[in-house]
Amino acid sequence: MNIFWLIFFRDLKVAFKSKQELFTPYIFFLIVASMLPLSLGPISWNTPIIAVGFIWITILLSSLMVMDSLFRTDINNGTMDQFLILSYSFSFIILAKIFAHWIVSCLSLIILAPIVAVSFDFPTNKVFLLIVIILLTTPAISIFVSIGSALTASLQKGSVLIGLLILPLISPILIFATHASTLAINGESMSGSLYMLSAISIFSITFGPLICSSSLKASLE
Amino acid sequence: MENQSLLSVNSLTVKRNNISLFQDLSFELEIGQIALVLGSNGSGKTSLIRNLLGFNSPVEGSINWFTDSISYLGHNNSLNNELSVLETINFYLGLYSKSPSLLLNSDVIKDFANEFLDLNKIKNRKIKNLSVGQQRKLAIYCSVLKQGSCWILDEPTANLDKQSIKVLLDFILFIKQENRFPFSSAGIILATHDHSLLEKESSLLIRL
Repeated sequence: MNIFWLIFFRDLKVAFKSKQELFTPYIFFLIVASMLPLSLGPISWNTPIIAVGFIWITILLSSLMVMDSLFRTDINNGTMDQFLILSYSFSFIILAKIFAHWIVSCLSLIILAPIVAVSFDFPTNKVFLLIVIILLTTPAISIFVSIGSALTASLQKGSVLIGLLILPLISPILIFATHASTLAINGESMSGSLYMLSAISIFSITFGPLICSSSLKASLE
Repeated sequence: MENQSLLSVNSLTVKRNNISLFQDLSFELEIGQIALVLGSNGSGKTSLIRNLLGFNSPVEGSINWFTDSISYLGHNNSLNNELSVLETINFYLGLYSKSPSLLLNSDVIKDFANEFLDLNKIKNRKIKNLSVGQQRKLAIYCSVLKQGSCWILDEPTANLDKQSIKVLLDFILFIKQENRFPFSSAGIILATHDHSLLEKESSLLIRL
């Protein structure tokens, strides 16, 4: 089996076995979804624009929650050393790990997000567009958070630092994603925003693993 | 294959946190040789190995490898607690692009797995349910599966009982010899604080 898929499926297997890591994003997502109407009080909370804000903030925060452990487990148990001495691109290995974490942390939210969005009065005929926007945006979010995770890999408690490092970089992605979602609700053309989000994701997938691998090598010294 | 150089180290100087660990270290390793790196705790054995593997950069000197097939056993066991023993073995076989049927059915590997690891007994256990010694043995077994031309073993006998140490040392002497299927002859770098390990059999003695 290709080493990329070997590492991808191995990381998925580990995530499914350590159930805490697997369910943390969903539980977080559902807790926020159930608490938000209570915290907003008796105002008209069932407006789609609240759904948009809620969905993007929770996707971002749940990505941050699981990314802390993305590289640290393999560094602490020595597996990353084994990856480094393979005659195989280290960047591809890192991409496989990020892909597996994207499946665990983001892809599953694609199933939950439309359900929550509809409960916030998001137009049901626009839910498909919301899924497309999430699909185009979350790879870039995962890559940026991975870069933060790689930069702080040598620190035992790096999760706060990841947030500080990454949130300014993710802000433009969040702006475009929110803008595209708002356009979808209003029934306007969102092709410009979608092109931009696609470009950011492709750029991130191309260069992100290279930055991650260099950061990890520096962290391992 | 005899007298083929695997590694050349010239005038190596390594520091850790600005403290010099060793200076001007030079040696060459050839196939069929054992280089024993001896030193007390903190003397720089692991730092030397991490420099050889390219994880760290030396302050001075050069390291030239003439092979890219390296089996490495580090301080940590490179095992994920959530996986079972069999899943771990299959993962490393895939990672090293080895054919399970060819490798695992060879008599040498089967004997080593049974004698050293008692594989049949523990194969379905999760790593986190193994003892520290069993985890170390599994890590050694996984690095054996790579069949490298150069083996780098950092304190391989840590947490092993006497019988297991004997089996491991016999196996190391076995693989350094010429072409014992499924292994090609290999060079071995063994870092340890234990002076009784293979001191007589080693071709190079590096005291740190």
